[in-house]
Formats: sequence, structure tokens, C-alpha cells
Amino acid sequence: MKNYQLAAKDLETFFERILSSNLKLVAPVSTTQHIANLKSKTQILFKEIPTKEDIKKIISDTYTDMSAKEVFFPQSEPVIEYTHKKGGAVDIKDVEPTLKETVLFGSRPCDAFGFSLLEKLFSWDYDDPFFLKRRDKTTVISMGCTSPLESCFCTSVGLSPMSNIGSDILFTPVDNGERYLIEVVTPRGEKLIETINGAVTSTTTRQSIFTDGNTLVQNKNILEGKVKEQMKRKEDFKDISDILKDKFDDSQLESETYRCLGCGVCSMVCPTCHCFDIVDEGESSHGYRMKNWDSCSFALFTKHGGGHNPRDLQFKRCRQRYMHKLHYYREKFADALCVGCGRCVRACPVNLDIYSVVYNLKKAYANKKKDNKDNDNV
Amino acid sequence: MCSMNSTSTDKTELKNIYRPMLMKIISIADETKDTRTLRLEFSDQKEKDAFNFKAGQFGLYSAFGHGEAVFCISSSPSKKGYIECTFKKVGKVTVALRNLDIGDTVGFRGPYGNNFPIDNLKGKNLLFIGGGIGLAPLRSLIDNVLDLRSEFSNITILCGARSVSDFIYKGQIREWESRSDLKLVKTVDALTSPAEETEWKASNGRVGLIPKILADINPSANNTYAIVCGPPIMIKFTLQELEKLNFSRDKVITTLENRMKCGFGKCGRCNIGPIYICKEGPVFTAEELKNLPQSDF
Amino acid sequence: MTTNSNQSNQNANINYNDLQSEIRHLAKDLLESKKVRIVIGYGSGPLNSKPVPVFITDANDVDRLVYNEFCFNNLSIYLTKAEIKAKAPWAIVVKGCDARSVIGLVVENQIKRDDVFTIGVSCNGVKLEGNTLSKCDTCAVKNPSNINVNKVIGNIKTASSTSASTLDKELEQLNKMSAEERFQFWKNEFDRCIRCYGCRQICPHCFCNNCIAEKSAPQWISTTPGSRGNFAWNAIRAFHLVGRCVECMECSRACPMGIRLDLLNHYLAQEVRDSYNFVAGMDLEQKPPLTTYNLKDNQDFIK
Repeated sequence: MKNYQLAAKDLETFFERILSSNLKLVAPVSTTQHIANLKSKTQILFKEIPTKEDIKKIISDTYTDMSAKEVFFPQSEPVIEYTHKKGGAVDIKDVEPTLKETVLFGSRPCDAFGFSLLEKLFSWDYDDPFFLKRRDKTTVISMGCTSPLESCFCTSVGLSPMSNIGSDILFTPVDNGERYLIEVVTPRGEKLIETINGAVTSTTTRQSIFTDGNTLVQNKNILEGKVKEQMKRKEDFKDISDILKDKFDDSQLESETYRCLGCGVCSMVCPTCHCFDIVDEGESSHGYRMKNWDSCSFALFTKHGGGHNPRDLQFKRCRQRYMHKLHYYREKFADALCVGCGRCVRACPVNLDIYSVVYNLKKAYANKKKDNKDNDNV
Repeated sequence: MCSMNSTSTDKTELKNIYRPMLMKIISIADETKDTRTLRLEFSDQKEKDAFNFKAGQFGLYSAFGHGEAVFCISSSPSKKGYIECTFKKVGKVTVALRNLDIGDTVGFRGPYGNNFPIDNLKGKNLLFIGGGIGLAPLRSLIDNVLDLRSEFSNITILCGARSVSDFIYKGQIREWESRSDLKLVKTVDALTSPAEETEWKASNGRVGLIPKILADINPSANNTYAIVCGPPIMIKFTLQELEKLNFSRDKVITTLENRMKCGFGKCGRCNIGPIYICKEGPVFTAEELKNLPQSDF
Repeated sequence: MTTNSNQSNQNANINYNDLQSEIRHLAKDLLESKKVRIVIGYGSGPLNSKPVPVFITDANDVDRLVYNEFCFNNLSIYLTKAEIKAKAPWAIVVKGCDARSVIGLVVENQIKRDDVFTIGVSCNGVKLEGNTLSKCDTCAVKNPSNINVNKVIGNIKTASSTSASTLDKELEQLNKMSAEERFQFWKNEFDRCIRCYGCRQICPHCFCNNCIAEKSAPQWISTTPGSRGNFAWNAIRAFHLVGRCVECMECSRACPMGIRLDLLNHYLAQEVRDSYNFVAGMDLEQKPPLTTYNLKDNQDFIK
């Protein structure tokens, strides 16, 4: 696929052209509510950029509080509509997911990898049309990371701050942020570049804003190496699946997660947590069947109607979360269900930290292996 | 393990996998004071014709406006044109389903999950062991087997309940009792009155927990499959007893149930260890269960 | 939620090493003498600015206990968790604000006073992401000697605040709004709710075994994230905490969507103070006003 470059000053034009091509644009913005001098806490979230005037609100190179998974898998969405008729009959109608061609801008390489992980789940024998149709209509443009956060650990799960898996296009700020290297990853990405080149705006007419980017690839590679070097958290997660396989009833996992309070913050901010609930919402005569985000941390998540709860204690629920992400998913779909974005680490109110849990388990396992070896020698 | 068929299909043609089929309640049977069986018939002729399932599979049944609940299909696949489900009143959806009447509409998604390996059972002796409402998935298989009676060897049904009134399918149990081509043993945990005792004993009923009665009747493991379903605690002790009776674990079959929402491996709650009951179950051999983390049941 | 005040300079006067070693000594004594079975305190976390709750059961492990200006968690939440409850008697490291929660739990019969040994640490404000929490502005229990704790550690002269706190100023703004504006403000806040229940799970006073948000027969609160259910959930939780909330503001800290629960709690606490002259968690003998009946209760609101 091709490489282009874009001058940083032309980024706004790029966004304008997306809007003038009649595409829906979703990008990170700061969302502070102001009413009469009262403000809420500032958050950075993915939001639709409806008009040209809103473009200046976009924060192009940032870390969002919530992941972008909701672009494909919203917190809450109707899946069918029902209407009660006279005589006990019911009418049902499919609900079509909104299917406007969309450009998702500003997700991170970790987020984008997350989309590809979710796609495996949502197409596991039964194709979930809601996720898959939206993914199919969306061009994902990720922004490579030049200054990862303290809690980031994408290299632990085999990614890099500038990897392109799951993205259609990858932007990387190079030359001190003066320009972007634009790597086109998929045909869908190439199609967007063509569309944008052809788009007419008030200021530019059918003039390409991109130039050849091949000369920047070398710069990116050097930068990528530097940024990886800067990252503090580098423990490789590769063998954690095999370790966890034998650790189901290990007391260390229990003590590592003892402080968990059982809220669902980690699941909600996670780009790959996919558990959901199905509930009916509406009036007695008419309503919708909803698919809502859920969390394996919640006590009721697995509780049987009859009262039995297979995961009756919080540590069992924590164990499920870690096992699912780091072991079960890998067995089924070849990859772990964690992309190293660190959102759960930043958001957990009791600072439960998946990276350090893995780190400690690995250390303990390495020591145990060493001890066994020592014993063998005796 | 996973099929990536979505990469090749046209996404706009994807069907809504959350859309239930509409069914009408054609009869209602109260099994106990809180357990009911609904017989359901497809509203749509095309869906009716296309529908097929195997004993052991389950579905999601919905009362619109209240939600979905998961039950096995308790009728036999050899009985065409309708399906049955048997459920206990425990929460919002089951209460709502009970409030529906004959002629009312129920949603159904399914069939989901794997099934009892009926072909492997042919030519074998079959020992069915069902406790409480756990008799429901067994009934689908028992009726299926009885409709093909000549293809199987000796059949024994051991069924139990907490009390005489807690038996489901009372009429059907009487029917099975009257047959000469199978042996039926029934037991209750306890009897509630002397009158009940007299009547129970007169009908050859026994008293005692299922694992104990199983030891008493001492079935031969030779050329025999045991198919077990009931509450988790009953399954646990029954499997232990079968082991004592020299049943090999790959000839002991059980069916599990966990809380489910989707039925097809996406909502994330029914797994025991790495196994999704909805997709890789609900039917397992005791051998398969042995490899799953026991503290996750 | 946070203010950059010059309190951080004052914090430099606190010798955290001294506090920490005193906590360790006391914890060791308590465990060795078998006065308690478990010490709930702060330990060092994987990220430096975020200590983590730790549970010490062996006197040899007390060096895992740390104390510094980032110890923002209200650890009393753990006293209501089944796994910990089973391990009474406990010792717990509390700041003044957290000690109020312990008192609240005793007053509401969730724990027995004799089961818990409170190690009350003097505190001049805790920091989150570099900023002192706004709840610390007007804290009246910086030195917990004026409320019920078993042992006070450190000695801070409680400086009574001279100016209105950020929260008070914001509350003033809120009260100046028209009813429509106020409704819009809260609707916008609650609309962001993602129903992670972080607020409930971290709240020491949300101790119901069966939360109203999880009742389904009948279902009082829609579980779907959306205006209707979110408003019901947040409003009902707030009402349930009236006169019981000690304003530790842990819910506000836990909320990943930044919903102004601190403002909501502060508003309700002020209402209770004005109407009943009651402040939650200050006195072992006083029940929350809405859980008791008194002939002399203010009845002006009945119209």
C-alpha cells in the first residue's frame, strides 16, 4: 500500500474535506460541560464532528478516557423493536444500525488492534450484524504515539506505539510534528485518500493535499525505535497464557486481586471488553430489545435465576477477567484480549493494575521454576 | 477453531441474529406449583418448515417487554410442529412468561448449542438419571429414543424430586411406568405425610437421594451410557457414584446450564474455564468436565 | 474537582516517614498481641503516585505499609466486604474523613465499634494527579483527635479555613441557577453515566446486599444507559445517602465519566446541616436524621 505525507498545517483541510465528502467524522474532543460558570470534569472522548466549525475542537494527538469501541459497539443499542397487538399477538421489526460512511480519526494503534480482536469475536460462527456492518462502513485512521503514558504497555502484547494492525490508515507525526507520514493499510484506506483528493471545499479545489510519503518512512522507523525505548513497561505478555493455564486455583491471583471492589470501570473503559446484557426497554405496548455493555466484575453477571452463582466471590470474578483476556481468548482466537492501552490501569479506583498482576505472576512463576530446578540439582 | 466467514460475506446482507421467531402458546401444563410447561407453535409457516433441532439443544424464550430467558427444548425432535419448554418461576422473565395465556405470542431464538450424541447411543443400554427440573432436557432425549425404541438396548430411567409434588411430567412418568420395554425407578428426598407414604410406596416409589438409590439399583456399566441432569450438587454426587459403579467417564453424559444472554458465545457469561456452555456445550461427557476448573461451576 | 492551593507547601511540613513508621509499629503491636487479625492500610503501588489498599495479616509483613500524600483511598469500604468482614477484628488506617465513614458504619450497625481499631492519621490534604483534592479545602478533621478514633498519629494544628471552599462557591453558582438550568446541568451530567457502578462499589455507605438498581421484580430503575435510567439511578443513590454521606467524595473520584457527584453530595450534606443541624459521621451517638423520628423534628417543609 502507498505512503503519503501531509503537512501538519493542512490537517484542518483534511478534516474539512472529510465533511465535504459527506462522510461522518468521529474524533477526540474535550467535553467539559459549562452552565453558568459551573463545569464538570474535563474528559476527552470520541464524538461526532458535525460541522466545519467543530473541527477546531478536535484534539488530534491525544489519549481518550473511553476507547473508540463504541463507534462499532455502542454502550447501548436496540436490536429489535416490538409492539404488542390486541389478543396477545406481537409484531417485531429489525432495527438497522445507522450506516452512514464514517471516518474514525485519532484512535491509537492499540485501539485499532482492539477492533480487529473484537471482529474475531463478533464473527465467531454467528455474525453480529451490528458490529460488523458498522466496522464495514468505517475507515479507521489511527494516530501513532510519540509520547506514550506511564501506564501504557502496548509493546508487552506484541504491538508498537506505531503499529498499524486494525487501522485502515495510520498517521505518524514526524519531523517534530511538522508533518505526518500517512501509511495506507487497507483498500478501504486508499479509497478514502482518493475520495479526499477529489473533494471540493470552499478553499481548495480538487488539489491533492498529500505528497509522496516514502521519504518519511525512515524517519518513522527511527522514531518508533526511540519511543519504544522510552516506554517504562516492557514485560512480555507472551507466555502469560501458559502460566495462567496452571494458575486457576493459585492463591497468588487471589491475593493480587483482593482489593477489587467489583465495579465495572475497567470493563467500560476497555477497548476489548465485549460482554453485554440483553434487556427489554419500553412501555407495556411498545419497546425495544437492547444490547447493553455489561461487566464480568458485577456480582449478578453470572447469578442463576435459582440463586446459585458460579462466581460468587469478587476474586473469582477478577480471575475470570484476567483469564478471559490473557488465556481463554488466546486459546480460541490466537491473540490475548488486551491491547496494552492502560485505560483500566488509569481508571481503576483502587489502582488494580493488569500489567503489574501479570508482572508479579511471571516473576513468581520464574522463581518457582528456578526453585524446582535447584531442587532437581540437589 | 473460529470460522472467519464474515470476511467473505457481504455485510449488508447479514441477518439479525438477535431477532427471535414468533411462536404461539398452544397449551399450558402446570407441572408443580411453580413449574410450568408451554407448548409453542411457530406463527410463520416458513419458519415452521425450516425448523430443526436435536435433543439437548436450547433456546432463548422471550416475553416481549420483559426480556429473554434460556431453557432447553424439552420436547422430542421426533414430535414435529411444536416445541415445549419447562421452566420454574424465579425472576422477571419467568414470571412474565407465566402471565401469558394460550394464543399469546412468545419469542424464540434457537436452537443453540450441541446435542446428545444419539447416534453413539444406538445399540447401547441407556441409564437416564434426572433430578427435579433436570428431567426436562432428558425428556427430549427419552422421548426421542422411545420413538426409535428398537434401535436401543435396555433402558432405565431413574428420576427424583424433593417431594412427590415436586415431580415434573407426572403424567409422562406414569406412562413410562406402564411400559414393559423400560425400567423406571422414582425417588423422593422426603415424604410429607403418612398418607402420602402409603400411596408412594404402593406405586413402588422410593425414598432417598438419587446417588443412594443409584447405588441400590446397582446398574451394570457394561455397554451402558449414563445420561445425567439435575441441580449442580446432585450432578456432582451422581457422577461420583457412577465412577464407583465403574462407568467410564466418556460414557457418562450430562448437560449444564449457566446464566446466558446471547446463546452464541458473545455475551461472555456462561463459560466454565475456557469453555462456553452455550457454544461448546451444553452437553458434555464427564471426561470433558474433569478437565474444567472445578471451582468455576 | 481539584484545586491547586498552597496546601501542598504545607504538606512538605509533614514528615511522612515518621507517620509511616509509627503506623508500622502500631500495626506490628496490634497483630502480635492478636488484638486484630488484619490490618487494612496503604501499600506501595505499581505506579508511584498511586498507593494501593493492602491487607496485612502477618506481623512480619508490616513493612509493606506505606503512608504518603497520595493516600487518597477511603479504606473503610473494605469493612463492609464479605471477605474482610469475616476477618474481624480489624485495624484500619484512616484519615479524618475516612474515620467519619467508620463512625457512620458503626452508627448504622454495619460493624461493631469494638471490632475495629482505627489508626487515625493526621492529614493536611491528599493529592490526586498532583492536585490536592477539593474536599480537603474545608476539612474539619485534619487532626482526627476531635472525633472517635483509637489512636491518633501525627499532630497537625487544624487551621480553620478562612475562605469559602471551591465546592461552596460552586454550590452557590448552582443555587443561583433557574430550576430549568439546574435540571439541564444535572441531566447533562447524568447522561454521561455508563452504569459502571464505580460510585456504588467504592462507597462505604452503599452497603446494601441487594441494591435497588439490581432489583428486577419489580424493576425500579432501567439498567440501560440512557437519560431515563441514568437519572433515576443517580437521583435515587443520592437520596439514599442523604444524611449518611460523609463527603469522602470517593464516588466522585471513582467515576470514570467525571460526573459531579461531589457537588451533589455536598449539596445534600448542606441541606441536612441546615435542616437538622446534623453532620454525618461525627458522633457515635447520633443517628442520621432521616433514619430516626423525633417529635421536635423540623416540620416546616410540610405545606
